[in-house]
Amino acid sequence: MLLEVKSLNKTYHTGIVEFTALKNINLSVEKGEFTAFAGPSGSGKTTLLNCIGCLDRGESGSILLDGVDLMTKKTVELAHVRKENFGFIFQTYNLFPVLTIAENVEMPLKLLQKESQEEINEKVMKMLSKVGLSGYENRRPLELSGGQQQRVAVARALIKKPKLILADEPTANLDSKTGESVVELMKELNVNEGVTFLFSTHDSMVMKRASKLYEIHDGQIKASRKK
Amino acid sequence: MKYILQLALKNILRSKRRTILTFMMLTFGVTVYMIMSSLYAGIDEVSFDNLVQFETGHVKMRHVNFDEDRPFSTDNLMTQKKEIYEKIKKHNFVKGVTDRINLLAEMDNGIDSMPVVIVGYDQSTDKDVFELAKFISKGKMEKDGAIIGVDLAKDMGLDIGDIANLTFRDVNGMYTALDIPVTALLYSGDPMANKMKIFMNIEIVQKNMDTDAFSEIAVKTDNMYNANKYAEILQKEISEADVKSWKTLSYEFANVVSTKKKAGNFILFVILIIAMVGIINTILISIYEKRREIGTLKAMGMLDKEVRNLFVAEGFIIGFTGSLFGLVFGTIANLYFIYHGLDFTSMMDQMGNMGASMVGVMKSVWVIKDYFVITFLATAASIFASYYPAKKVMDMQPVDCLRTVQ
Amino acid sequence: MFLKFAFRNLLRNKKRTFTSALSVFAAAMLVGFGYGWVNGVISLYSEGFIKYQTGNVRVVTQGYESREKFMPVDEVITNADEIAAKIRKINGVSSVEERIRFGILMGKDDNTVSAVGMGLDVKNNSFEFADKMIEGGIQEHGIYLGVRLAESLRLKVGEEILIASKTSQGGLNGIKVKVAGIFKMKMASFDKHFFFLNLADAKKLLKIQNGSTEIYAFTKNVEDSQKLGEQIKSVAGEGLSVKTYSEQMGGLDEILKMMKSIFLFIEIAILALACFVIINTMVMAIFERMREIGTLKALGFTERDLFVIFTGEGAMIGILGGIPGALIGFIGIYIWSKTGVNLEGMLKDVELPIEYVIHPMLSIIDIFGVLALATIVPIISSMIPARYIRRYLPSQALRM
Ligand SMILES: Nc1ncnc2c1ncn2[C@@H]1O[C@H](COP(=O)(O)OP(=O)(O)O)[C@@H](O)[C@H]1O
Ligand SMILES: [Mg+2]
Repeated sequence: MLLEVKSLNKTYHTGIVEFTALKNINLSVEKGEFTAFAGPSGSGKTTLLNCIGCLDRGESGSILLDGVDLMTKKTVELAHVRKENFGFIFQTYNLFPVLTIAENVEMPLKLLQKESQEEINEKVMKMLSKVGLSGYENRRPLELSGGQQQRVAVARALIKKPKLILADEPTANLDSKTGESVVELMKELNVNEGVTFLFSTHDSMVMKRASKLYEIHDGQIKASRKK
Repeated sequence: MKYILQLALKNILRSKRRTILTFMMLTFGVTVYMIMSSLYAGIDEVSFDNLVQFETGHVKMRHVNFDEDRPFSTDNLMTQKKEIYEKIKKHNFVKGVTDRINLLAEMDNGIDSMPVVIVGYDQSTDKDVFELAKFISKGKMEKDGAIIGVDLAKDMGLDIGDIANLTFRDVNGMYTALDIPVTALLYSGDPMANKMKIFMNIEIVQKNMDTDAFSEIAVKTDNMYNANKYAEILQKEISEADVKSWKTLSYEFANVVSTKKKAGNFILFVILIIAMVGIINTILISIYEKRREIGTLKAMGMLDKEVRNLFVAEGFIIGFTGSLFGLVFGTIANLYFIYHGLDFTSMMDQMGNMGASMVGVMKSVWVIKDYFVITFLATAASIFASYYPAKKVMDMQPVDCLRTVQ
Repeated sequence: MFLKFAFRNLLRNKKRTFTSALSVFAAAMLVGFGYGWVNGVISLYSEGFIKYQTGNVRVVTQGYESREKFMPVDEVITNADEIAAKIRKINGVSSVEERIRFGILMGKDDNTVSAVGMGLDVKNNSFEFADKMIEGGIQEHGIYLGVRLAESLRLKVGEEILIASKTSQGGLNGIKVKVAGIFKMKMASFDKHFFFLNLADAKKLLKIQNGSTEIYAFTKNVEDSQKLGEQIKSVAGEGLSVKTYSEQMGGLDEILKMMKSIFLFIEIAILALACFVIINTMVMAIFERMREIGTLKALGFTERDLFVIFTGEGAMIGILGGIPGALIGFIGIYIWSKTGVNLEGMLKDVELPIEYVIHPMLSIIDIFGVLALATIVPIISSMIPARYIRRYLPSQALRM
């Protein structure tokens, strides 16, 4: 078992109002799965992904990655957990406008400081060709279309071969055709390279591609399906 | 407008720590400024008073050829006392007239000698113009005795009852010796006087100098602040003398005072800048944190100007209350400086002559004007400082503010 | 990689970066100038004290020291010439002078002034008044007057004056001397009150048979003063007081040092004030890029990494403006030190051993001091806004 979430709760405190965004969430993800969270807007998908990805802190329960509980870790340790284990893809791409495409993609490897620049360059070129963006290395993100930007984001998430890629509504900002091609790309990588994906969506077309689906309503898992 | 002020107040209370920090910067600045300003005012007042009561009188007349570089020239002694006195006394504003003679002498105690300045004063009229008695720290003014500066007495090993041996040149250029008993010690605000002056009856001096001339006539008037005008009037009638008011005489000293004023203004300026930068910072952060809210306000139809006013109001509230707090603290601190004062006596001993009449203990005085100036400036600066970041908000597109909503 | 990232971000908002750097530039220029001026003038001042007042080391009798303010002439070092010869042999000594100082009243016609006479080797002395003569010149006998003293007494070269002084034996003695020269040292204390005469004439006037009252020793390097003081102590006999310039200046040397640190503090404050602009800029930059910060955190950047990136960005602005500013300010003061600043109006009546025309003395250390200030203050300032990075959880940052 790669990831296991046990009775996770999350409450937002905003001044005097409290809002429980996640209630008793239990789920698990196996290596190589292509898992999706589905649910209407405001159901808690982003919150759940943020908690799993250590971008936010849950309130109670546990999140086990390879059997290690992430909930008890310190802030600095969490940064290392993210660096070594997770790749993120955001709805709004979140590329760095001041860096070139290649520099954006190489960033996770630079952070890990394990390889020489030559090795990194080689990997970046390979990765960019995989996502169909060869020849774009020296362009800036803002010169690219939304679909292309999201492909860069996929490349960036994948380059360090993370244990788990977390994608929060990766297609929500794209038209359906471009969105489909991005999901296609993710699926391909999942099948061919065994990358584990965990993503949220409210797009039924994307849900169909998932190998495992959790339906979330009002912060609770209402149903789960496996294909 | 009231609604906007309410909103601004809520915003301020939302980030307490930051507000308190800005607030403290402002309060601190205002407090420091108040203390300094009152202290300066106190120094000015006391120093000028001392100068006038001890040295210059309201108006002083000297020989037309008087030369600062040759103050003891016997060619520049004045005569015609009667005529000049008459011309002076006929004016109503004149409250007292006296004359003094100054000369350079050597004081000897058998082992060592030192240059000293002898001041001959008229024992019947001097008190009409000066307040010599006020500066006597020990002993009494006597007809045949000398009053000698405390430091001079210490250096020469003299005390009351001892004889001071003096040598000087008379008007004929002959060396003359004079032995006179010390009957009083002088402690004035002017360290140079304490170190080198010796006062005695002008008659004794004139007899030994073999002359009935004198160095200067000093006049007291009904109002020392009109001295310039009075000096002018007197000068017109008295051609045999050079007439100067205490203000002109203390020109160099006044220069020192104006330099101090400049320093004070510079400090005020720095304080304002710090406060402004602090406020700009606070409001900027406040704006960036509330970008989305601002976008929403704009989306709801709040006018750009109103959004700007919201933040200017925030600055105004911080600036105004901050300066009020500063005034309260400054007032409390000033209580100490005004009623207790700062004692500089020991420091002055070390530094010696500072080039101007100064007193050992400095006391501040209330400067009412400061209260208005500070409130006005601090508030104006705060509004000014918040205007810049507020303008930034005004120019932001609602979509830019809202862009990040997921 | 961090620095490259920071640098690219700087270029993102060129106008803002430029204005921030400019304000730091202006402040650094002011500070470079002020720092150079203050340190330069204080050095000059210390040097003036040594040259004109204290020597590097001075030897007098203990009795002289305790009655110094009277300039006693009965406290004679009888074997002064032997001691001077011994000191001359010590390594690092550049010159040794025997002197006799005495205070008298000088009167001519209607006027009387108090003056200080100094008997010394009129040709070789640290005052170098022979080179500052505006009338007359060095002669066998005669006295040399400060220009304002001469004016006050209406004395011209060639005229005679009677000078009378208490002697070393207690009585009075007077001699008639000719005015051989009039000098202008551009220092109030000398031009207004001093006259020089040769040592032999002074001894005759003061009835001193052997020796003189003071011995001044000068070193090639100021730093050697302390050491020389100790060496002289071992060659000088009993009952003598040997003091370095700093011991003679007493509190004043301390005050000068204190002044240096007060000015340093003021300079730091001015720079810090200018760096407030950096703080503002960086606060804006951080809030604008909050979502990027969130993304960086998601990628695994630790808060420390981000702190380095943003501090680096702010520091670059500061250093870009600060170093050139400080250098230009310093160069300005350097040019000034070459041409000199005439402060006659201000210093005319101030009795300090400093010339009216001021040439601040600058050293290499001062340059490094200014540069260090211009580097360190911006770096520290940039650390302040970087703390906003810690304030938000990555998820919060991503929403902004
Ligand atoms: N920072 C927050 N403060 C308060 N409530 C929040 C916050 N973020 C999300 N929520 C609430 O939590 C719920 C779940 O939000 P989210 O996870 O973003 O939903 P989704 O991604 O499924 O649209 C929503 O009702 C939202 O109002
Ligand atoms: Mg969402």
